[in-house]
Amino acid sequence: MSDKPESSLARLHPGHHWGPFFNDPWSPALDPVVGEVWDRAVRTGQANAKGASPHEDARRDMRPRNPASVASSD
Amino acid sequence: MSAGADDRIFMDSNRIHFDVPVDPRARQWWRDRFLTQFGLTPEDVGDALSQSWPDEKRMTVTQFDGEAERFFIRVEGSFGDGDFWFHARTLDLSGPAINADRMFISEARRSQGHGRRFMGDLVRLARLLGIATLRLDSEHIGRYAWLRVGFVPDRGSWTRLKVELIHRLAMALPDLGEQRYLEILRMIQSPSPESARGLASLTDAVGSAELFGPDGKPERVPLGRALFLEIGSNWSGELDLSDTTAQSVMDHYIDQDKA
Repeated sequence: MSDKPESSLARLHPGHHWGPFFNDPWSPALDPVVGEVWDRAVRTGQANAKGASPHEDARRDMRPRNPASVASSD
Repeated sequence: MSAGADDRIFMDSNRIHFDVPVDPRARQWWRDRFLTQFGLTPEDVGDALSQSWPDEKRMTVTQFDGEAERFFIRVEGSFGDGDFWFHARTLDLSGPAINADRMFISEARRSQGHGRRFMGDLVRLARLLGIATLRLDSEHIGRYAWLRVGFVPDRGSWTRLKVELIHRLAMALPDLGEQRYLEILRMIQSPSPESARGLASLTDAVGSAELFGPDGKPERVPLGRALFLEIGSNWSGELDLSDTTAQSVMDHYIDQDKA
């Protein structure tokens, strides 16, 4: 986390002041999910990325979405 | 319920205002999809989307389209002292999806868990309605923060983002060294938008493009944040509540008050 005063951050990141989030772009509050839950999400994303190819992605996009079948396959 | 009493749920009250006419088709759509199945009126949906806010609130409906199966509602409340919040959500049953269109919380009231609780309200309503897809357009700090609660860019956004991410990564080459640079470059080049989660997690210290110390030198910042906060692009994306990974991240986020 930066220990800079917020006024400095406001000047340097003017666009970051709109929305629901804490204004300090470097605050740990912006990492609300850490530890095993987050690490698992990253690993899953990396595994999916390794398995993906542009052609596979295109085929996946063409399949009808069925949340029930996705859930049961996990 | 008689037709007359039934119709009153589509009329203005001291809590809800319909900015658009609610035609017979829209009324029937609502009865079929929300009232009969879930016992929900339009006002109930506004309340559900802001369940965590116990005080007074005001709702405005600006789209109510039975043919397109879309219902847009803005809910707002006041903290007092001029501070306020609002959020705007679209129930899009043609998807089906709920769009988290907007959320604003006055600056002095941020970092107090209000945004997280409103997101929890949205997730609970989505689950009640059997809707698995949440969509949003990220901007500003949200370009990083929404990734960290489980959203991922859609494929169009990912394709566009990759160009800017590669450019920002190149700026960090002197800090990273060639081998590390190439490792991260491969992550960016992935066709899967889920790579964004790994990129956002990168903690390599790099020189900021926007934050400078008193000596004029760039501050050291984590690469994951630099990649998503120090580029120009916003992104559109979604969170799939039927995906166990995304679901566990989101649940961990919204359940933090229980911890």
